[in-house]
Amino acid sequence: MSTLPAAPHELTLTEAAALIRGRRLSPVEYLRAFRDRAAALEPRLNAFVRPLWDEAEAAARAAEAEIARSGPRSPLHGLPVGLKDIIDLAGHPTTCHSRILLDNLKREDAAVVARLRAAGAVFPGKLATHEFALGGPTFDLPFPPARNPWNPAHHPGGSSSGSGAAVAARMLPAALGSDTGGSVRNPATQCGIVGMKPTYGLVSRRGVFPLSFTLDHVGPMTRTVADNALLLNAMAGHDPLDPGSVERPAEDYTRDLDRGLRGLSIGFVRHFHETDTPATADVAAALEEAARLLAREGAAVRDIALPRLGDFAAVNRVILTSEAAAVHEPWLRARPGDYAPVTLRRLLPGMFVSGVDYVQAQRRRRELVAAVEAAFREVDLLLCASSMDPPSRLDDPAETERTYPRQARTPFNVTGHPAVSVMCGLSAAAALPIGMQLVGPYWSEALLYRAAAAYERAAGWAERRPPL
Amino acid sequence: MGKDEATEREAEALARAAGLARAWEEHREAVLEAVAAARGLRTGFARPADPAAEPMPAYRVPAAQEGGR
Repeated sequence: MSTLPAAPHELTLTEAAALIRGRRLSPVEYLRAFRDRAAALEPRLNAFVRPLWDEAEAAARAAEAEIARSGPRSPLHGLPVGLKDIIDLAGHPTTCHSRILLDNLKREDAAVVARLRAAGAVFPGKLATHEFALGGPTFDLPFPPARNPWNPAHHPGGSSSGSGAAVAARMLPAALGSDTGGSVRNPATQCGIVGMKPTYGLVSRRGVFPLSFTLDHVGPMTRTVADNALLLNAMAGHDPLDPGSVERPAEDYTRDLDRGLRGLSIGFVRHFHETDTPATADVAAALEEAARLLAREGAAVRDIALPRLGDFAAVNRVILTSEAAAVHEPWLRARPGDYAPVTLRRLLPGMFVSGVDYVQAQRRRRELVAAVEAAFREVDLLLCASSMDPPSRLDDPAETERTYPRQARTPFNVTGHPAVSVMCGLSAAAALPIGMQLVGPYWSEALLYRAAAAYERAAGWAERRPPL
Repeated sequence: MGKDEATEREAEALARAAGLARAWEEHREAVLEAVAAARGLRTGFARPADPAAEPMPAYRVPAAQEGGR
């Protein structure tokens, strides 16, 4: 092998794919770099609930042989992708980080995993989550909570906590998360990486343990925007066995990454973080600076108003808790003590939401969708906050509970619009990541990646790394 | 009967009606909190003013299966 441009674990998916295609990097060498990195860091970060390095190395070796024979099947051939442990991987349990499902052995891959496997990806581990993608970080579960690589005393965000921590720490180049109230974008924000919640129906949910049928999305989590687009290329596609899946022509989400911001109009939803749920001064300043930078790079940025954040949040909560309670009803009745207390507290309200309230929330949902659609008749994209606070400390559950709902991600679970979180700053006090969201019309992922890539290039935050 | 006692009785009745007798016996505080949370959610968002406003997602019959009758 010739000299690499960087240590293998620093190579992005895009860089590694090019090097593998040019026979300058072996998939086995790439995987081993992450394995070594995980061996050194994982005891402090707890990102993995089930490491599968041997199995992944065998798959990487097979990929290497196949690439030598006939070239790569796709840019992901031989590249490692971690899986949040609510996503099925054939031959392994999907525990949902819960003692209730410790022995939940799955025989088939989730549809999205099958797509990645067909593209040649390998799977080095199942990753930590909040229990059933809903509880909070807690120490009374079968596995410890993941920790934030920027400061392991802090929460990495959730519920795709292990995915965020593993990617930010360079223990994996990419991972999958799920997002029902923001659970891809929250850890992406709090770990300083890129997380995309695609349009509802773009990525199959089949084989992903449900939290809330009409709000659940599966999304890619990576260090860079280009990698995120590359991963979504392989994840997206119609699944006739997922009733929410939509049949659409395949797209190359990397196609516009270099087109820049000129000619785009961006509506800044300031009231989310200024008046609806006031953000900390650090977060507000980072958002203002991001808006200025987007404008300097050629976008026309102006304020725009949506319904108040509290309306979106309450609608999300009524629908989420009702649908989640329907999934968990037998266990809530028969074995409530097997949940962590924080999970039980978040699940139980759904058992007391009336049918009328659920339908009212779904009726209000249609109005909220119409309001966001109206905004997209005025601007191409929206800019808004993600979290209103930097990551809380793991040893301060009261602060985690206080800050958990202080966010602007749920609106786009309610409406199903695509939204990507990218890093836009560091908190002054603790040097912890701050993120922002760019949101687009339905099926506008390529446009979102175009804007996010332009911001990423101009801002330079993707060059920053956790001080590990 | 005091307010707290009335609240507890109401919560117990709701819990038992929901099949949560065990949760009521073993996790009473969590059930009380859940009943209050559900009540709070009820007033958390504006109800549509139009009585004919449809919920989302709209009900649609499944597409005809190929080869079906």
